[in-house]
Amino acid sequence: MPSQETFQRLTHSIDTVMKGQAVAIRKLLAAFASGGHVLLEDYPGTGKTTLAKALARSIGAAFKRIQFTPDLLPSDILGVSVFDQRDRAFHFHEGAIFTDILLADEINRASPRTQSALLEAMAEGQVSIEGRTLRLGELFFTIATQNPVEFRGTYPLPEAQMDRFAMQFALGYVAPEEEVAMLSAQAQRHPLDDVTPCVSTDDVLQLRRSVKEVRVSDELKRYAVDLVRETRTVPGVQLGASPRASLALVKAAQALALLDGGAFVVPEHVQELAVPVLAHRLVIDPQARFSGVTARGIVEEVVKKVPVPS
Amino acid sequence: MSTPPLLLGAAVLFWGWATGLLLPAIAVAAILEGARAVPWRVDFSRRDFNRVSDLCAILFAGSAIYLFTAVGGMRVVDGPRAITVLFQWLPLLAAPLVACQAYSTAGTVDLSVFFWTLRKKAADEPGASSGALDLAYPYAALCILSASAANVRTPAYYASLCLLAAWALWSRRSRRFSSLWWGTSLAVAVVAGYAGHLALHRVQQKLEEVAFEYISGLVRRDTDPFRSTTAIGHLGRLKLSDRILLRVEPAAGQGAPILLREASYNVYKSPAWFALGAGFTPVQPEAGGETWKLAPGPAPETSVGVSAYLNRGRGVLPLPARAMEIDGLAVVRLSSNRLGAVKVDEGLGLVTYRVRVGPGALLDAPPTDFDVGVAAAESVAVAQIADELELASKPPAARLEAVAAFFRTNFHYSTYADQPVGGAPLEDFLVRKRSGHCEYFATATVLLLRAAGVPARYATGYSVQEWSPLERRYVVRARHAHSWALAWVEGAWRDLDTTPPEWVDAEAAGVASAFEPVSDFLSWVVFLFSRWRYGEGWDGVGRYLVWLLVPLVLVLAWRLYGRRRIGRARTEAARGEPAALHPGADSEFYLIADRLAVAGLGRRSTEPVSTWISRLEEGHAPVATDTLRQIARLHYRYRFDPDGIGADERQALRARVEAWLAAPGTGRG
Amino acid sequence: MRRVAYRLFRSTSTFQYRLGRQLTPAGKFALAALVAAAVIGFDTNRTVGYQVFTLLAALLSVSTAWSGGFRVRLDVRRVLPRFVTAGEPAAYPVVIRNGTARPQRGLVLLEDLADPRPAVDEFLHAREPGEERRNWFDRTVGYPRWAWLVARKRGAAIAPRPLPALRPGDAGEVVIELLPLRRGRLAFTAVTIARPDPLGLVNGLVRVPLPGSLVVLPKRYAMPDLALPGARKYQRGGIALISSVGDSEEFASLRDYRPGDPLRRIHWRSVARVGRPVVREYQGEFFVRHALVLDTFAGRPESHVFEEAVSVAASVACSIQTQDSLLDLLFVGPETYSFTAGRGLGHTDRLLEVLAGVGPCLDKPFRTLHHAVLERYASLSGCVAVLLAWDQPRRDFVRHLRALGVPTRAFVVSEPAALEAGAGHEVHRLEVGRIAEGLAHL
Repeated sequence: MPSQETFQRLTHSIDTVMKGQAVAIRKLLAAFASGGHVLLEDYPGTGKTTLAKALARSIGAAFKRIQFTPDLLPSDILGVSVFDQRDRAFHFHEGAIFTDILLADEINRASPRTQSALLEAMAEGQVSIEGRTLRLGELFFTIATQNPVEFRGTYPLPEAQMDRFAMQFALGYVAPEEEVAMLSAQAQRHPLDDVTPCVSTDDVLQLRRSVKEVRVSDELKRYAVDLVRETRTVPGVQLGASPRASLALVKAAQALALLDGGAFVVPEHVQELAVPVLAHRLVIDPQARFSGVTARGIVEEVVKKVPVPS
Repeated sequence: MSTPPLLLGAAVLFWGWATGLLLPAIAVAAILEGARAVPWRVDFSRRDFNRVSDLCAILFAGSAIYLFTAVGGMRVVDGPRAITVLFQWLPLLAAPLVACQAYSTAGTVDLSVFFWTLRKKAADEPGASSGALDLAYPYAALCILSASAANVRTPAYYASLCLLAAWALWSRRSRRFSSLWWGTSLAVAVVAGYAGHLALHRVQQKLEEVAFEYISGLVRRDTDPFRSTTAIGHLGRLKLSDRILLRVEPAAGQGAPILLREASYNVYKSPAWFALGAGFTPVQPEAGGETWKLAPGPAPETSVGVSAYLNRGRGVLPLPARAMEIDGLAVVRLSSNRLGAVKVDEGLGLVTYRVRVGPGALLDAPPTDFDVGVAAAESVAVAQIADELELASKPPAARLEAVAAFFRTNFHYSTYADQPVGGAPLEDFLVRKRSGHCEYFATATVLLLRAAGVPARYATGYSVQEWSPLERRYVVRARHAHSWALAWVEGAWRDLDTTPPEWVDAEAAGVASAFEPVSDFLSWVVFLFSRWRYGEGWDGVGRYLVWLLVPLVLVLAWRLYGRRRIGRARTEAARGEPAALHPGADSEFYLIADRLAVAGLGRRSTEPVSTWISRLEEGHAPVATDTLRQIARLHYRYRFDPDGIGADERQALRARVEAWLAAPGTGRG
Repeated sequence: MRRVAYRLFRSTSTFQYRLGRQLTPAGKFALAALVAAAVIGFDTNRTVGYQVFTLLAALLSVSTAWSGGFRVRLDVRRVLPRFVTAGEPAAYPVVIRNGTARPQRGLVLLEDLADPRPAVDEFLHAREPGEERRNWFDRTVGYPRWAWLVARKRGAAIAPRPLPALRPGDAGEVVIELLPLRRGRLAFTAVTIARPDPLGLVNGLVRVPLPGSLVVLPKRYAMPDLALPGARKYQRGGIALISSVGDSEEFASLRDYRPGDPLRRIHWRSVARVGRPVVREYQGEFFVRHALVLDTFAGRPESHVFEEAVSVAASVACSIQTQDSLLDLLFVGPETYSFTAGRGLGHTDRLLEVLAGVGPCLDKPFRTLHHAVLERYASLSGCVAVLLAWDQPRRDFVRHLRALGVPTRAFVVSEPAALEAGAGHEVHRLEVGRIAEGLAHL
């Protein structure tokens, strides 16, 4: 199936469930197709789980959900070797991470040790446990969520780990009309139950290969790098975006270009993705934070400062 | 400097032109505007600014002290006048500080430079700055206001003022309105200002006329610059002061005239003399405006030089007897009367002139009835004495001698004492006391002569007595004020001074003080300065002052030159590496972008094309955005597709752009 | 007498404020020059300064005539940040949309803040610090007091900002720079659009009501990390607390499996060795909790010393590393308040917001705070106290805490002149006006 069609089917399928979230779906699919992971920071009840489930069901992929609590252990995520008394041998029971689409809910409530277990696995694509190395699935895609309201008892993700997520964005509350439509739609049954797989995992893998083939001119690569470099020199930033960020930006721009039906990347794609890809990677100086500087504000400023090729 | 180019220089030159200090003004203007041309700047620290500010303050204080105290007692340079001169000098005194700002890297002056308390605060907290002040515009305003103190009364001042104001306002005008509105508003304001100031001046003149006597009675002691009356006691009071009023240079090889007359009077009504029937008529100057003939006929070559201060440029000129012509008197209006008084209506504060004395002077008119009358109050006593001396029987020339002898033998001189002027002072003097000062002697002489049938007049003026070795000329002090009698004998007026000669020493003893040499010296310095100031040229003081300033300026410049000089940060012409030629740089799309930019619809540098087109749509710009989007798509393919654009698509791009550009209007299509 | 003075100050300040808005900088300069020319040109015979006077008066009159008829309709929207810090410059964007049919050019944006002038009662009853040292005239008329009250309430200094040229329907953005002057809530009332006249001297003004508010955090000083001694203490609260904050992975021991234990606790290696189910046991409730005690008993409603004490408390709150400990802020206002922060930067935000709104307590004695802290002493690992004086009740408080075994560091913030005699090693003295030095030398 041509990639364009894959995209359209996925978009349409998810849209039946998540109405009024076209922008978020677009970003999600861009991250998904580029092989990166997504962090959703949003208020409770805005549909994060629904989104992940909708995506999983549209593909027909395996889906697991982990609810992060403070007493969650790394073994709960990665797996544990259980001793079977009958054969007197250890059997490895895989953890929740061995799946295609993983939803890590409220990731900031678990202890740092547990968080890093997940994030290392995400980054490397494999799990090392008790001397053995097990590869994760090829399609492995994580959607992590966290509440923006900092309650007592949360461990905010350390900066180095934030870098592992290709994008961070929020769903937000929908427009009133859409909310009303949602109420009507969910009167009888949840639309999620009606979602059937419309693309196969092979189509998705094909999609990812196509994304890698989208052409990027040197000028736009330079533009992406300029944006990232500028974030390092803005006053108030303790730590700017790393080269990993440039990579993620270009890859996501390729995915977005493919989503729009083009064969090459244009500057609009790069600009559209600047905030979702870069903002969460910046570490703001505490003094500047208390003067009202936000990471999002800085990235928007950078986009307005660096001249765009045209 | 934040002023538009050359505005500050123009303001300084304007000041120089108005106050007459054109050469210093040119220097200051060159220094200030030169800051634009030189590429370097000096890194002045706060201490440097403090020092320069202190220097300006010292100069200011020095000038103030000099103008106020040294010249304070002078008749012309009293309090307010000194302020005016000081104010005119202010731009020059403040120039060093402004020059420092012009050449400093900071470009502004910290407020702590001006105030001691702020300096202390700055010393405690070195980091905090107490606000910066840009001196450029205030200095321009100071120049204009200083120029106003120079009192240039021609319309040229107002015209220049309007020009400078327009220049300053033009650079700061609001871009919202067209220049036409700006010009109209300015024109209205200029005309209104002109009408306003004419009205204001007229109002003040009216007020002055009405309140003249009241105000002048309160303010000025000398209520009568034109000496239309003099009361007995007036000169007496004048004699109490020691200051030098006149300076007299006799002709080469000749002695000084003994008496300089200011005015004469013909009617005595106790206790004052009046000049009746003596209206002033203007004297016409000769060609050149500096020579005034008082009597017809050729004037002799020898002359007496006199320098006198005129209060506010108006007053009577002290002249020797039989003055025929006055040379070198650069005043605007001169008039004279029948009684021999010559007054200046509009002149300078200090006048220096040469008087040519000749035998045929007819300045004083022949006697009239006034000159023979004696008032009833005194007539009895005077007639009695005249009879005693048997004046009637003597020939006219002998009568003078008799009268002189009478006074010489029977009277002695006493200095002016505060006697109540009332009753019959002259009778007292003649009959009982037989002692008094010159006014009594002169008055009595005139009345006696009249009683003897000789027409006589009363004259007031000065007696030239004292030679000053310091100045090498005669100086006339206030205590040399004198009065005497004029007698008409054999067709000419003759001086008759009956006051005992010891009056000079008697007055000197009363008034001289130990500080006389010092105050004389100061007075001389001020005289030199005043002479230079009133346009005597560069000889004398002017040259000396300049030589005094030059080493100071050199020292300052040398100290500043030794500082680090910091090259002014040049704005980099091109940032980073030169723009590499990127693919698609020759796309015709840029023509459309340029065309729209000219129409004010241009793309911002950080805005990608489709965002720009959306913005145009939202703003309802008169542009066909659909075709524009299609063209943009082709353009993007050309620019950002690494595989490049096909030939036919390239052709299509070109064609579409041409079609778009050719559509009527700005691409309405 | 003071009431008359108050009315006079009020009307003069209104006049001054309006004049300041109405005149552009060039206009202000022209006005100053006008006054100077009036003084110099008073005698029209002596100088020609009166010509300068009339020209300037004519220019200002023409400009004033222009400023009358200015009407415009612009949609203005502020995008305020979450908070800013007193004394630190901040910036926020304002989006303006041109709703008229004509392009708008050359306009200037001015922000209107809440009125800083005091009410009559406040003026009559407030006491400026150091007022006793002023001379008789100042005290009777009360102008320094007025000036001090206004300066205190003035929330921020915002400079006027020129707007870019806006086409009809176009939206533009300007960044307004703001310098907050005091902590608390900064209230915006409206936005004023000013249009200079063609000559550039007098503005025409249009006021657009646009309320908004911004939290201004207290000013903070740089200080070295406070090494607070303190053992980890047992925190009551059990499972609930563990789930919120607990360091729940402290492995304590192994024990036999009891029915009902969660399977994930089974330690399989031990099972392999021992042959029967063995379960890991955790102890979770031990961590470090510090208290930051703020003395709010200032004795008067407005106190410079109190403001500095709040700044010191804010500095301490920022410097304590709360990554793995808790910080309790304790102070007494209308009630006794305790705010807990910990585990990351987000909570320091909250703490600072609370400190931004703290006010002095006028009706309760110091003992109230003493009791409040004593109630909690058992769970405290350490305490930092910021005090306003070093008198007997406060001495007792600190000594009592230390006697109970809670390591306490006390800061006393006071006026330079009012340093009471006290043991230098017991407390750190901080002088108002030299706090930065005092904190840097810890």
